[in-house]
Amino acid sequence: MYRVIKPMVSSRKRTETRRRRVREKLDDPVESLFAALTVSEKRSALADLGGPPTGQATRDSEAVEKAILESGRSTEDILTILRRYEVGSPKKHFFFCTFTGDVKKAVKSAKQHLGRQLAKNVVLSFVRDDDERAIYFLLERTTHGIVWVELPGQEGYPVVRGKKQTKVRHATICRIDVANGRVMLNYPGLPVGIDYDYAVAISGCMEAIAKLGLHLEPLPVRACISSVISAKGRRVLPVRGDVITPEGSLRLRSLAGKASIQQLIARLVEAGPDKDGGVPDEPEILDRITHNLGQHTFNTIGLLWIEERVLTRVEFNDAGADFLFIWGHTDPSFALADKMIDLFYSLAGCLDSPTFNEIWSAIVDLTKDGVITLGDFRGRFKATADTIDEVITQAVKLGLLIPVFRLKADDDFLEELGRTDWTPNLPELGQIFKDSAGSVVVDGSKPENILVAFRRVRVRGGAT
Amino acid sequence: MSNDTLTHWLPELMKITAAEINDKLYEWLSPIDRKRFTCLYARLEKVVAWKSPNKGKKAKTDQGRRSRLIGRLYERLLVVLFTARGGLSVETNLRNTTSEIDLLLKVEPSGLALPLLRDVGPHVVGEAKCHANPPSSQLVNEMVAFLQTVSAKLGLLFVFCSSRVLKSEVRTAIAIHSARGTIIVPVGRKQLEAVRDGAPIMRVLSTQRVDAENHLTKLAI
Repeated sequence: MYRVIKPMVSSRKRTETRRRRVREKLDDPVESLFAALTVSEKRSALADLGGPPTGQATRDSEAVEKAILESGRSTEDILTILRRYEVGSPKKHFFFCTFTGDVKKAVKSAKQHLGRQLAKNVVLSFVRDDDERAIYFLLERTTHGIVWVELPGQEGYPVVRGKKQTKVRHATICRIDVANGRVMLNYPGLPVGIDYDYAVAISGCMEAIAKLGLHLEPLPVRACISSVISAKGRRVLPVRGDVITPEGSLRLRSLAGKASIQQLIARLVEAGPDKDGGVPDEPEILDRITHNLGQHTFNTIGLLWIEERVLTRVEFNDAGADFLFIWGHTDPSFALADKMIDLFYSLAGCLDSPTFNEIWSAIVDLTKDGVITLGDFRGRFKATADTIDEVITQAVKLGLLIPVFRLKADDDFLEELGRTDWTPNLPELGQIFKDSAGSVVVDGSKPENILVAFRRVRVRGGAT
Repeated sequence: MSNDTLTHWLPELMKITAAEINDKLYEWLSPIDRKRFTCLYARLEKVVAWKSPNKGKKAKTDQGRRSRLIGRLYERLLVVLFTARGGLSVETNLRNTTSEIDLLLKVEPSGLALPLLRDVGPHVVGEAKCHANPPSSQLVNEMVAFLQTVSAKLGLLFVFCSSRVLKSEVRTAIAIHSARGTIIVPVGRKQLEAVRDGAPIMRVLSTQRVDAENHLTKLAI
């Protein structure tokens, strides 16, 4: 008995093989759906179709595909089940919008228009409304693309390649979060080498959704990102960018996790040690760079989300902003993408408000480690306490502020304890504090005995 | 009411997902005497690893003493998790008309701010099983029956076998009971070691409850 050992295949070769398969299968709906799904999704689809024929192995992807095709169900049934799985998993590209309109009517209308062309080259192929959290529409756009293919070998040439025009199926998942009034357009993108205009594809999808009675409005991502960059918070860091200035453009690419692009420029412009100790103050340089960056337009920008360890590449096009999510070790999910972009949604809702901007500017302009005590801070604005608290909460979410705490007690007693300073370390206050006579003065485990303030934090040194 | 105190800000701060802020709040809501916990944990590990140098009848006697000591140490260790002034207060070894409750954990008002305790009613029951064997589906079923006799919705099943991923039938049993409204959260060395290394107990329990209710394949003790 010999054991057959398969040769090792490099990940690069696997990627190339996958890309070739994707290109070859673009003009067949079932095959292109197979190419869009993972093996486990295909296995689940096979189980929904009644399981594999007796004795048939489903170890690898191709065996599962074969079993699905031989399941004895009609092509329509197979397509429906595969599409159901296609809308369930997030793809790489996202386009974020808000919507106005009646969703119930839109779903009803969508079911009537199933399989029909709603806009140029855009067909509504699937509707899923049994998920409590969201409603999904699957829009398929078919157009022509030019791909390079390998031609039969010719004498004297090891490899011969030629251009081939092929049908391109590009599916877009439209995920409607009814409770929050948000819409995500999610699409996989096409392999490198296929000419495809995402802005046109997005406009087509928006037009198609409009036919169903829902008007989509792109999220003002550029304004939100500008606001995030100028705030210099710790939650989201710009790590890559193509800056366009009147004099030319500048491509910046800092090592994700090591520095933000402002810090990268700061390294380049900081004075050397030979300049008689005239090293400029780093916070000052960063402030200037951040301010000047805000004056120019970004063509693309890479954002590192510190909490989630996810990198997103945002490319601004005619339709709005296309987010490419590079998930890394994080599991892709619609919920996570929604949680991340929630910051932008809440910012977008406030950016037009002068009251918000006034309070926001006061927070942004606060010096490093400056503390906002709520009584004083609220007194500086005409807005209600609730509005001010909401802006503060927003700033905490974005990593501009952190909560700091102090015992609610007489100054004399706090001095006696040596606890006059605000501390971010809340657990150290969770105990009973007694005076020199041994009687209880304050119980730090009760929330009413803890005062809350907020401290400004800014990115310094490394990005994390 | 003054709205610059934690009473006003706690619900708002709990909504913020930054781990750094969350952990501080968890730690304040359920403080632990870490020094004591680490000391007891090290002692317990030593006793568990100890083997009698004797043979025959003497070895059996030693084994019995060791088992009793392990049981006592384990219960003391678990009490340390909840004794400080936190979201749960604890009473141990309580007799009722039919059996004994190892740990009766009462939900305090501050505990209601924690996602783990929001929907579990006034008390949680903890069972300490310091066996070498991993929990079985039978153990889960028995614990559910016990919880129903004391009208508890959430049971913490503390075990101290070597760390491992739970078997499929155990996860299935947990899932079935969870769907019927009785939640069993297995807690083992993995979770206790996380607490020893500085993680807040309520975050650890909360994560474990989510894994148990979703009967995830990674559910481990």
